[in-house]
Amino acid sequence: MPLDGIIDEIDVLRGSEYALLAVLMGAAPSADLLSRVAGLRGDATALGMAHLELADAARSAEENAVSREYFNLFIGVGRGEFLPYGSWYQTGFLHERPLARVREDLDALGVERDGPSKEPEDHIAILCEVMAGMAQGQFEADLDAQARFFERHIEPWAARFFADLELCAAATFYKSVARVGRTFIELEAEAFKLPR
Amino acid sequence: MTESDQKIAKAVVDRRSFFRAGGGVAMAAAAAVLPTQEAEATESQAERTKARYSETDHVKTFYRVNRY
Repeated sequence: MPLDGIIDEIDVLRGSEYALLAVLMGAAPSADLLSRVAGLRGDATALGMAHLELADAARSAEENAVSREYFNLFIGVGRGEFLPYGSWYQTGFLHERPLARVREDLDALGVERDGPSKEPEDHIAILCEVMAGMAQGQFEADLDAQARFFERHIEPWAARFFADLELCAAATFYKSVARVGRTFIELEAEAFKLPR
Repeated sequence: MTESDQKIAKAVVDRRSFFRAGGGVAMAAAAAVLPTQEAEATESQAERTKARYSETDHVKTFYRVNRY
């Protein structure tokens, strides 16, 4: 944890942003979540503008249509259009070394799976959830540990993944999610490069 | 404060101002979207494995007719 073991308010906010990405990328959003996302505010910063676009997309989105979009993009019959896994993006195959590295670090953090899901841990939603947990102090991880996790498991591929998703013709709601994801990941990458 | 504490404090302030400039307001909006715990399954395990077969009239007719 940062100075004096107090969670900086900025880190709580970073955690919220990661949590938002995790919940949207982990499953198709319910109508309730869509209406809450529609209330996202923004400002003139790149991230703020991306939020406004996402809020707009959520306002005009319909739960069933988004559910179908999520299925076509990420699940599919056989496979979806996108495989949001670190292994896939870094090696061209699933269940590869990048996944092993994620599992190593999750072990070291003492983080383990809760629930019946069998999803490989290098899924973007799981990685975002871990970052959120570290940022908000649910997992014991100082800023250096967070930077190491980010640089090892997210920075090599996540921005590229979100950029690809943003350009996909089949994505309407998720185009806006991807824009938020790409903008935020780029922001984080720059922030971790600041001297600590 | 010691020198290393001062360096840490400066680094924290740098990060804070970086994020404030880059999207602090935006991230605060994200915090408002999510309730504290967002872990609800759409289908419970019991729901997934419950018995769904029921002998309606339609099914009984089918069995009867199959004996002809």
